Amino acid sequence: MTLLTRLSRRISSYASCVALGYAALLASSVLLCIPTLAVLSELGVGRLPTGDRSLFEPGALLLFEVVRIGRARLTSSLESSALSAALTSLLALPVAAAVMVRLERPGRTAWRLWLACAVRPLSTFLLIGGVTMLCRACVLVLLGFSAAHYRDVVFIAFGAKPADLTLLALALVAMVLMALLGVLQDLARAAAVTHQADGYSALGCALLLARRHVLRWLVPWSIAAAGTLAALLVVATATALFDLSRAGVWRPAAHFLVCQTAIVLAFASRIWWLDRALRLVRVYARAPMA
Amino acid sequence: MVATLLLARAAPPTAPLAGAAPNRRPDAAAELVRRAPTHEPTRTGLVVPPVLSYDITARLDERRHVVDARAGVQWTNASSLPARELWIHLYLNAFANARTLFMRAPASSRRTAAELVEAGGITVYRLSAREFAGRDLWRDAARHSPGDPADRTDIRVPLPEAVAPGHSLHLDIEWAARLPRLVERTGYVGDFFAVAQWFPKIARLKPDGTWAHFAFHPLSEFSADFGNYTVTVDIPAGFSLAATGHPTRTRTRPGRRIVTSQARGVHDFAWVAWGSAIATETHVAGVRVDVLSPRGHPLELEQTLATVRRALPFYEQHFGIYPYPALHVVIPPDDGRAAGGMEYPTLILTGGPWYAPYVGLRSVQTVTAHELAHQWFYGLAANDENAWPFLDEGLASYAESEWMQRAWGNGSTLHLPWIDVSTVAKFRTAAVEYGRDEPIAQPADQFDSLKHLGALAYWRTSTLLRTLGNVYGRAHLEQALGSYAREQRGRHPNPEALIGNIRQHLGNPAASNLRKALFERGWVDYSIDRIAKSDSEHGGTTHRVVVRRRGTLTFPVPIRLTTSSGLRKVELWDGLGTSHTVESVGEPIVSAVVDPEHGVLLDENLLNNAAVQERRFPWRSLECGLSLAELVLLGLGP
Repeated sequence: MTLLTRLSRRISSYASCVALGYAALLASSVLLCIPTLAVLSELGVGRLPTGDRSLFEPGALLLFEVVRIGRARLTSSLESSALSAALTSLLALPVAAAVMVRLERPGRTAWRLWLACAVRPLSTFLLIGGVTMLCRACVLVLLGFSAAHYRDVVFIAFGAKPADLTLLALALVAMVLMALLGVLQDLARAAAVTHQADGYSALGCALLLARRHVLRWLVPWSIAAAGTLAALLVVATATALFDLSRAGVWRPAAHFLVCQTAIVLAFASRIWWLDRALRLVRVYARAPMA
Repeated sequence: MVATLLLARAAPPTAPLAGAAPNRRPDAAAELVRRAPTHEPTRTGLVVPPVLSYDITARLDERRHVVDARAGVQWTNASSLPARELWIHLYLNAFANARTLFMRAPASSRRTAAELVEAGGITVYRLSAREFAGRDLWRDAARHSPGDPADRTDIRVPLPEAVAPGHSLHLDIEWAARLPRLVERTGYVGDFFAVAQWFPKIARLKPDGTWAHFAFHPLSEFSADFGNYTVTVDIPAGFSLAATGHPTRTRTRPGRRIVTSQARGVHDFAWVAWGSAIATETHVAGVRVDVLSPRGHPLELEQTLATVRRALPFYEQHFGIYPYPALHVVIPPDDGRAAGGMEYPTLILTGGPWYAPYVGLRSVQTVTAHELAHQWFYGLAANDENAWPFLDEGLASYAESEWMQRAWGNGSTLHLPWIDVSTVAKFRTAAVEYGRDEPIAQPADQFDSLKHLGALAYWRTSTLLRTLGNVYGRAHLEQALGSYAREQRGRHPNPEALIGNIRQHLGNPAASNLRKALFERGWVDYSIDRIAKSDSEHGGTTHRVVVRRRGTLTFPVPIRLTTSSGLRKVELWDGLGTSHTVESVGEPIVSAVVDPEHGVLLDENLLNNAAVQERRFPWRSLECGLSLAELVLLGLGP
């Protein structure tokens, strides 16, 4: 196999993974948005001559009005969206499995075989997901209680600013721990795909890898995380630049294009990280898993 | 007086920056100060007949947190009836224990959730009157507030003989004020001492011979007569002092600093002594501005100074000249934020969350602008804050929002690159949310909670005034409020004074709406009921738009129709009936909007103000929502 063939296979597998993942992401996001859009329609935003353009007007007069009048309905729509998010995270498991299998076996693969390979690690993915979610919940509860306690202690001893900074520090700790758990989850999934390991072995392998080869996962993961942050920045900047309160189709169209491009690129960086995770497992976890 | 001051303002800067301490000032603030014009203070205070004047000598014991003081007080019976008693407010006793009216009030009435960690209070040792041969009147004083044995903030002192109208009493008082650990704007924390409501304050005797006296409730503020104050405060050396009035003499003794301040034409006296403060002095339009700020907050100091520098001339232009030579601004320390957001004559305590300047919130500017506006609406036009809190808080909120809108436009509350939130939107939302729960014009302690007081007395009043301005003319409203502020300085106005000025400048309908909104929970909701069409007798099609008005307020409003060819037609409806029909023959009407510019900010529902023939799908919301949801899911990881 020539280098060119290998490269083209890799690009093809990357492209199909990005397309699949992005399609799933878009579909999930639409599901998440539907309850809120329904509330906006119920509230009569569509009756305004300028439509929902009014919600983006500087000053936020009508945005506040929508939130005030529709607070109860919006809260319940957000609850529905949270439920949808939980469901879509379950549905995302087969997509993640398919993506990782595809990355592990680049090149031409029959759809049926691909699907069969993708279905195989699902139960392991479910276990890994469950364990990491439990850990995340524990971290949140623990840090939540700590925040409530330490904020008061620091507030009484030192005042508002140190107390708020304590909260911020705890939030940062929580984010770091969440990110670490995410890394472990990805590495464990990679182990499950690469070595067909069961859930606990995969998690053990991920822990071992994460401990022994810090730089090897930290660098690619940081690049992927930077991709997501960059997408966030691009979306924020685009929202600031394309004043959506003004009339015309081109502004929302351009905003949509810019935002979606940034999100696709961020997603591609995440696919790249998953590929690196698979490679890390393949190269460095071969012996323990064999 | 005004002419003299105007001349003084026009004079070129002559004096270098007085009392500057460059080594104690952060760079950003120093830059602001360097650029500031400087004037010799020439304003001498508000000239009003003094009814209640104090000459106080006080010493702060910073270790015991006690102020020992004695005073000579001159009180004049300015009513039309003989006075047979005095009512004395000992407001610091609100923090004597957990059973006082203040402390036992529900948490919803409190500004902060802070517990009473260390109690405070006033102990009066002696109260005598020279007119009664120095007899100690305090022995006969009531032991507690009327009908409330647990509260000692409102004390009746019977007089041996009646004081005839126009006659004066010369009282000598000795007392000690024990400061609580900072709770609700008063007390100490570390080396920060907010010394307010610290002396026995004689209540205001109204012209009809009744006393405006009341026990200290957490939702209430204060009321007192105007007078002249000379206060000598003995504080530890190295402490900075911000006190009502202006310092006239400073002496030192070993380890101590003794400052005498004078205030002419004020109705309260408060001071802040602070060991670790950064003191900054500047001049704004001829007024000496002293700022005390905590270390490590240069941005907050800079924003405070910038706000004072721009807002003070703005308020002077609209509400009359600031008559005092000095203004003191205190930005409390991090652990003393409970002292912030408070006004006293010539002294304001600002504040806001420390992180506000970093996250686009204009809290520092908002609080500073609001407290500064109180110098006109409370300090000069000194309404009874217990009886009519909307008069000072509502007008100060209006002045604040007017200034913030002019200074910062649509981003006057929050400014981020992707969203701007205006003060008008913030005020309107709260104003409408609680609009019909209670009347605006009612005593402070009658409000259900602090939330209601804020929404109604502060924000609904401001929104109501802005609505009147939008509907009947901004210039007329400015004239009305300007003449109210100028006519009522040195007086104790009531709601009728404000309504009278509104009537004079904006007309009877505006005054009627104001009265209904203030006293009768007045409200209004305009809506487009329907767009209909029918065949006309002459063969064409008649299009009808039915507009409705619900509620008790009646404002004239424009109705804007748009036809299928894009033609716009605007019709003015006087808003008097409950419905109004606009007819149009010919082209179909595709949209109708009542009050398209949202002039009637009190409108209960802005979303029913329009109707269209074809509803629009919220594409922009979908598009933004999608990106947001994708980012959230991407952050969570598949």
